[in-house]
Amino acid sequence: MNQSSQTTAPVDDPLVIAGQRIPGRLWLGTAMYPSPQVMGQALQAAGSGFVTASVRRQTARQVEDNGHWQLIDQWLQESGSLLLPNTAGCHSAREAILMANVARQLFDTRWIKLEVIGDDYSLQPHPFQLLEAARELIAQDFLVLPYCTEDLVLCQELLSIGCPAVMPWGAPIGTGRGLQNLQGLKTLRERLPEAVMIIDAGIGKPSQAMQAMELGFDGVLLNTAVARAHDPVQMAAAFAAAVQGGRQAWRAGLMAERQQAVASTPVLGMPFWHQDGVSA
Amino acid sequence: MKIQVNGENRQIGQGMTIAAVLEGEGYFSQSGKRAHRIVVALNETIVAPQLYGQQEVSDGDRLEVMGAITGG
Repeated sequence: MNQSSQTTAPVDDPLVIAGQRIPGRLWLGTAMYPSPQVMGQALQAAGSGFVTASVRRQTARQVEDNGHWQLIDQWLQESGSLLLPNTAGCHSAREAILMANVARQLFDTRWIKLEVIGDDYSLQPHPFQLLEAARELIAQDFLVLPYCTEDLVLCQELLSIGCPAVMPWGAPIGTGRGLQNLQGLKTLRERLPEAVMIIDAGIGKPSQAMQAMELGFDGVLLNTAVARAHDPVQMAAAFAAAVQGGRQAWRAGLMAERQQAVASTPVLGMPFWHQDGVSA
Repeated sequence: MKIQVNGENRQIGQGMTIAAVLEGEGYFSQSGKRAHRIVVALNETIVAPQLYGQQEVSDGDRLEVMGAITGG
């Protein structure tokens, strides 16, 4: 059932975070699918390492008729994928800490995708509130995976206080624009070669996920690009293949770019070499 | 007295426990079993499930009943 995840995180190249083997490098959100059944099939096609979920006020009826959650719960039990609750919608450290604690009680997990929004237009993470919340949640024994920008110093700080990985954005949530600051992300990878880094948000196409993996990022987390595809299940499979290919390329070692053309075919032995214009 | 449940006003009697409020709101199944996929916060403090039957709500209290939803 979990064949895709085995291909995205093979035995000789495991993704390990906080000492735990994560069963896939493609992580999927669970929102916006046309039906719980399509969501379940997409999760299966992706072989998702983590699946994300959240917490909101619910009436008794909503608790009772929660088909999406029932399917996620079933998927988690059958697949070995892990649940990553988020603190989406929080705008302060105080809110995020409270929601993380609600999530821990609700889902019985130490993992938390820490989101603290600083700007409602771009949904850009708030670096200062994020750091404050991360510090407190780590003190409370959470495993904090912060959604952050590609700011090098912020990522360094988040790692130094004990986040087992960081999750810089590719582009604003839901935009599908891909890796907006390619140079910044390259620098981040170069300067933090040992850190586990997941590109979270803004990925719209499999080629963009592949690019992130080719740059050496350890995984990608996305939702809208799959859930809003005409065929989410096919798209999940396409992303799984892209993530696998990108990772394989990174491990194989990409060639260095060159300014000048260099012929692939040897010139030595070329027949009729520079014979144009020579009279018989 | 007046309290809020998930941001909506409710008039309830004196001395009601959280469990009684939850029952009135329908969070218990017909067999009397509480929905296990909820977390309750009283005035932004999470309440342990074993305290629902003991903790009384007071006038002006804000009760939040939260459950799992999909998310990215």
